[in-house]
Amino acid sequence: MPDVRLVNVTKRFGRIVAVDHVSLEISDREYTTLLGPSGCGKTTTLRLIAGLAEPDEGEIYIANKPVSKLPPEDRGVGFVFQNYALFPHMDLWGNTTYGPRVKGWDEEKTTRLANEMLELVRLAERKDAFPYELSGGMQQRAALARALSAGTNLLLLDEPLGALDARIRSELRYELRRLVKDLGLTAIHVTHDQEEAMTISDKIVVMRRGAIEQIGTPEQLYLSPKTPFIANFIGESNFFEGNIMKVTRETSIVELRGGLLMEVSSTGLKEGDRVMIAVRPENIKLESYAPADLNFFPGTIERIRFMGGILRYEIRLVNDDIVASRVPIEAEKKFEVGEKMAITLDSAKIHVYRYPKEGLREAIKVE
Amino acid sequence: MYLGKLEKVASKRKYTQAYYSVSLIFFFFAIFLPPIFVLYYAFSGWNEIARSVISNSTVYSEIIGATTLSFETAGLVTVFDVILGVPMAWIIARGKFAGKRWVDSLVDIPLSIPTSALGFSTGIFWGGSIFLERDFYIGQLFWKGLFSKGVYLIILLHIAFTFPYVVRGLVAAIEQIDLTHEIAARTLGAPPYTVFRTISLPLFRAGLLVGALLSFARSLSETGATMMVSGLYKTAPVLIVDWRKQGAAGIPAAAFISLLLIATALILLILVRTLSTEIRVPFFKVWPNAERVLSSRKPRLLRDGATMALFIFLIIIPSIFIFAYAIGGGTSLATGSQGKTVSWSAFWNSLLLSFEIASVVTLTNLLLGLPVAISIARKKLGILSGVLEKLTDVPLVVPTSALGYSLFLFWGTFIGLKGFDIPALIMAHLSFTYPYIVKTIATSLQGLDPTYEDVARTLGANPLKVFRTVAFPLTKSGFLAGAVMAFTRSLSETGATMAVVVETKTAPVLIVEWVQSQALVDAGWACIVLITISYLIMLSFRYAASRIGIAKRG
Repeated sequence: MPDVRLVNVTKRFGRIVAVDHVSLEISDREYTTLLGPSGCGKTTTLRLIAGLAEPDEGEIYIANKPVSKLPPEDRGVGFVFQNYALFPHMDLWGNTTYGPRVKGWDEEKTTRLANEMLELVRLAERKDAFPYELSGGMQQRAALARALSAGTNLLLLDEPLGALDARIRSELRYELRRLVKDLGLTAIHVTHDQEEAMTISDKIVVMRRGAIEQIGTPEQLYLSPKTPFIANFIGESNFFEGNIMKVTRETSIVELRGGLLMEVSSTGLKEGDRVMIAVRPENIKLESYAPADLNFFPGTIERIRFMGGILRYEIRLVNDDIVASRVPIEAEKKFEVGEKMAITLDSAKIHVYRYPKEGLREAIKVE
Repeated sequence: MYLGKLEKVASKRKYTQAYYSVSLIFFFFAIFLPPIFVLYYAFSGWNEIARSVISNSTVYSEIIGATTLSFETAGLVTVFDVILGVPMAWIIARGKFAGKRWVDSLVDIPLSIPTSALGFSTGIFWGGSIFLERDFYIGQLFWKGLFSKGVYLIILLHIAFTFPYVVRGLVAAIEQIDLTHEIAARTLGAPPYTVFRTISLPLFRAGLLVGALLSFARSLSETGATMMVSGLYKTAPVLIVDWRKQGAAGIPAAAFISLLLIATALILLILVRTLSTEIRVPFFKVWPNAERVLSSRKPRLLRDGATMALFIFLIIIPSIFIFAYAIGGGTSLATGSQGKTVSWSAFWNSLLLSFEIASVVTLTNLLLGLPVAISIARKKLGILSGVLEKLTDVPLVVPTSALGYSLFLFWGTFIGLKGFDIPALIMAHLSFTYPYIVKTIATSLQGLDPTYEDVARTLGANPLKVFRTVAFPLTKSGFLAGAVMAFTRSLSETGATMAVVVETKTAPVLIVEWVQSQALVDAGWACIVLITISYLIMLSFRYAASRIGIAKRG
């Protein structure tokens, strides 16, 4: 029921356009994440949906009803704030029953809902505790219980895990998702943490500079990033610059700096077009040294970093480009710093983009 | 260069410790003890009080009558201040409209006018010709007046000068509320009025209680301005001054009233401090539909409009009405004060004395209050810091005439007052202005992230240099605000002055006497002189503070 639709929504703060003609559909019972660097407009978008800000243009629909003119108290959304905003002058019970009480629901319903929700977040024992007596993780769960007991099906979460320690944060992610799924809620979750977004969402909406950059499942975003920005922001990518030298039916040949040749799947670009290429570090395989060939570039190991289960090699290619490669730690062949070697690329795992007008740096900048 | 060396030497532990010790001793003996000395005196002289006051039914009923009137006035005034002050503070703290800063500074007007001048101003606004006992023209307008001198005028006057205390405390408290609490309540389904009642109000209740306490205490304390408009009625502080004028014969009665006032003030202080932290709002009921209606646009506009109208009509216009008198009073001046001759040279002398006292008091308190303010803000002395913070409230709530009388007893008991008029006056003024300086500085230091000072220390600055180059520039406005408040409070004080000395007169005391002797035209002009000069002083304080900032940057 509570599918959310934004149509051409714009919000300005003075001369800054925080949200720029955003259109977005979120289906019922979907866990959606608004992901992006700070200042990308994700929190403003969430506040627009909640009614905490009013759009300058466009319309927002919740369950097919336009809501732009409705005050927040009439939108029936549950909002979880980054700092939780638990009312300091009320105990947990007071906080959890606040929603039902201000809506004038009867005593029986109020008690039942609040009990259910506190049970659900495992805080039924701490009803009488005041917010300052609870740990960060408990406060987070309490804020969730409070939002849910107001009887909402649409949960809006603004960096809900942002204030927690790394360990608790990753535990609560799964709990949060399970809870949303168990209760059949629609959730819109704002975060700047791409790992969090990847693990928790059905669908990720990547935002940048007030606009939507790409929408997709975590897998889609990772495997087929639509822009260099996504390739850089979701996971990690190596970037190359070059020109299309030859186009055939299935593949194109790209000439990189220093005359290195790379074969990529067909791109729809013409010969002579300037391109930008992204390759994930795990798609760069290491081989013994040999002279340069198609998708085979010699280089030297520049640095090695141990990252738990994997090793991250940084390699200086013969054309002075530096690329990173991730290799499982138990890989048979090991390399040392200064060792001459080569890398190979799988043309199916190379992403090619038309070279951005604003330049590479600007195109992938996370600000 | 020399400054640097001096700071290094002065930062040595033994000098710092000496400075802190002196300031603590000063606080205890000069600020804290005098107001409560009367308690000791009353207990040791209880037999005398019982004999000549409590068993003397005329004296006793007069005292009870005056004290009751004082409490009733203060109570009514405080209730009114809160009712008007809450929406007013809300408008200032949360309103979004052009001219908000203007409204904000309007609130401070009654604070910047010495209370005796305010008494005169309020008197002619509400009393008109009745107050002046002659025709009162403002241009073509003939103003007969609504009230004669008495209870109504006292209440209206007290509302005018206590109002800023409630509003200032409230605005500060409202601005401290984390907005997300209110937003969270909105998303949970509460309309704005419900949010205000169930979330905001409980969160700023401490500020509300403190503001109310200050306004109550100020009303209980005001003497000179009350005398101008009270006519035949007498409030408790007025009675203290009356008995004080009778010298030794008046001691038991005056000591008894002082005891009543001070004890009540202390009890209220303790009550408010406990209430504001201990009591929680356990349960609330919501009437969704009614509160929804109250939250809508029309009632809101109506409420804001009524608030502003009452504020302008009851607080602002009465406070500045004296200027209308000055403009329309030219003809009255020509007729003179109906044969009442007053000595303007005495007024100029008293004005000078007032400024001397205010300057000495402000500077001394800045110098000797600073370590206490730092100790309170930075919890340097452990538990003692907390105790100090509570103790600095005492001179703030004790009615000043009772304080002055207590001081008179204190000095009279130990040294005798002969020839010590001015030192005694300074001592009295030190006591009641102290909290304004120390509390304001402590508050602004508390708002300063201590990391800045830590960083400066790690970069090699000694404590004094850190204070001069980091802490002071960042909290300058607190120092300025404290100094301005202390200075103007001292300048306008009448009760303490009249209770300590009889013959020596400061400017506001002289103005009160002129009004009482019906030299009204001269009194009016003296008020205007006093207001103008105190306003100029405030301007120059601000100017000086802004210069300090520039010099530091240069």
